[in-house]
Amino acid sequence: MIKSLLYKEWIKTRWFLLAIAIAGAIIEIYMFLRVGRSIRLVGAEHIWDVVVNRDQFLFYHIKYFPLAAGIVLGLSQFIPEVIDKRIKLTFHLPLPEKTITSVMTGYGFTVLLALFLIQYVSLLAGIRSLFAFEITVTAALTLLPWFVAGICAYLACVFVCVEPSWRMRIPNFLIGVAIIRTLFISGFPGAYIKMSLFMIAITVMFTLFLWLSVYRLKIGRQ
Amino acid sequence: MKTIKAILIVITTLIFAWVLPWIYDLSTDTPQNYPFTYYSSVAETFGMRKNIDGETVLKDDRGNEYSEAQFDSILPMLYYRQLARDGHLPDSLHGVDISQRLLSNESFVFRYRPRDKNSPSIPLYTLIESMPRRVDLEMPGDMFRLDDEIQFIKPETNTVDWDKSSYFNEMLNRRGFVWPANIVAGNPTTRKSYDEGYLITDNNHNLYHFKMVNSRPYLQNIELCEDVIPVWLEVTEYRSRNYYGFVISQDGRLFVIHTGGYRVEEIPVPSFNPQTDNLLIMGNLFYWNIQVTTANKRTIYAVCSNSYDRVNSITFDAPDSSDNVKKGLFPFEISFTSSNDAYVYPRVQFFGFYYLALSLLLALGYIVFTKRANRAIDYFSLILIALTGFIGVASVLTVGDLKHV
Repeated sequence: MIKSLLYKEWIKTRWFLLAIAIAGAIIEIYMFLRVGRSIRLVGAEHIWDVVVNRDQFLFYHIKYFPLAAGIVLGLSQFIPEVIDKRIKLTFHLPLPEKTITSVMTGYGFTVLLALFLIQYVSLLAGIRSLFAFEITVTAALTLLPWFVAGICAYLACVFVCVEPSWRMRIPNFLIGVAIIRTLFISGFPGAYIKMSLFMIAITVMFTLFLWLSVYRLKIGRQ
Repeated sequence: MKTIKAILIVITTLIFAWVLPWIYDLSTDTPQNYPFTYYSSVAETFGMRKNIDGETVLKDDRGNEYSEAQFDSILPMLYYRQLARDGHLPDSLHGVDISQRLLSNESFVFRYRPRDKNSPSIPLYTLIESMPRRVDLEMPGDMFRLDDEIQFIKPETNTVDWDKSSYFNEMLNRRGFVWPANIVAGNPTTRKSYDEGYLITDNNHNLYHFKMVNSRPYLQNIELCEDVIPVWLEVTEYRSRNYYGFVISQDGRLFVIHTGGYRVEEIPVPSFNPQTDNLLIMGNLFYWNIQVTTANKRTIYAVCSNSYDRVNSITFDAPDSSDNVKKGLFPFEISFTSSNDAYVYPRVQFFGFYYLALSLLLALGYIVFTKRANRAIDYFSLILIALTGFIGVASVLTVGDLKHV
């Protein structure tokens, strides 16, 4: 049964996942082409100087990509479910609702996390090949909140989409926007170094909140 | 599920405590400027430029008002270019022959903001040749790190230059440098007239002057009093070449390091808080204007630039920024950024208990409303409203109370 559920999720999301993977690869290639060109034109020393002494982050093009990816995956997975309340049919399967929702959300969360990990690690590996370890560490700290925002955006999509009433969908949406906004307040390299606990906390929070939407759907709130 | 709903209500309250005060500030903020103040080496008093209702008023500390030309004349150390152009620059002052060139060379500005210190930075540094063969300074082609040893990294290949690193390491170790470095301060740019390298403290807070001369390392220990623990160093590289740099100690004292013998002199201004207070020094041939700005006031000290005797000071209280409406509406506000640092993290500022009157009124209103609607009182929401007032009400109205999951 769970295998079938996972297969259903795969059918719904496969093209969107492919699009996210391709778009991510294109953005990464584009960023490295740009930086590579800059290095060829003005020399690596000048580029290092700009990064170290003028607090410039060169890989900012990817800033909103994880956010968009999280939203796309969340919508691709749950919009078909909420149209005509099809998810209610899913809940009639001979499995507890908690298991069904866990499988659905767990699938999306896991594949998104896997995609983000591949993109994050490959990006850092590329940065490390061009820059010193210290610059790579700062890049990792600068990129991290953007990828966490992608994960949170996915969970927030579930939180909003599964909610059965528009009266609560709108507040849920605004709460999601406000919390995710905290991850885009500053673009200063390394500014979020003191936010690691906060980032874990908001991910856990969104996971809890989506259960509230599932519960409200289950008890038939209108 | 009630627990999750309770968390949602609390989080919504916290979001409102962030967003609503921000919107309030956005719609009510007004500029709060101190008058520009500079010590007159002619009138021996502070000249002030104030903006009163859109009008610029030029006056001194004794209450005398000036025209613009008169104001230029009492502050020749500041407006020497204007005076020279008008042909009014005096030939001498206090027995010293002056010229535009001399005044330009002796003038400097040093600014310290807590944000300078409290910002994430990448611990890589550029060591420029201090005695270049050519006239202009040139980038060295590498950067160095100071962890457990000094390592020069070549950006072109992203590899360590082991030969240069071991050559420099040997000298630093011989001089007793205790790894790792604590503070590393310099001006890694070629857009300056000369290079004095870096001021560095080692792990034992010993202060060193470190630079590269003829491709060789130069490391000079600078004696500080035992009780001085530097928290901020600044290499000055001013045109006058009178100073190597400034030192700000952990307890907020200010020191200057002189060229020629590395004499360290304490500047006699009261200590300030390097975590929160701003410091600005506008120095000239005769006096340093040392401006210390705290949250509540700004004090400008006039200090003789030769003897460092404090000759005068003036204090301005901060323009009244207390906003009783804001305090009455919100018990606290959450912000994620501060002008004192470049980090993002939640910071809570409490406004006291001014909001209690409104919050109790709102709590009472909530009881009356629920009774009239023939609904049971949700005590969680009631307590939340009583504790947080306006933002609690906004939160309950947005996501509902605990009785209705």
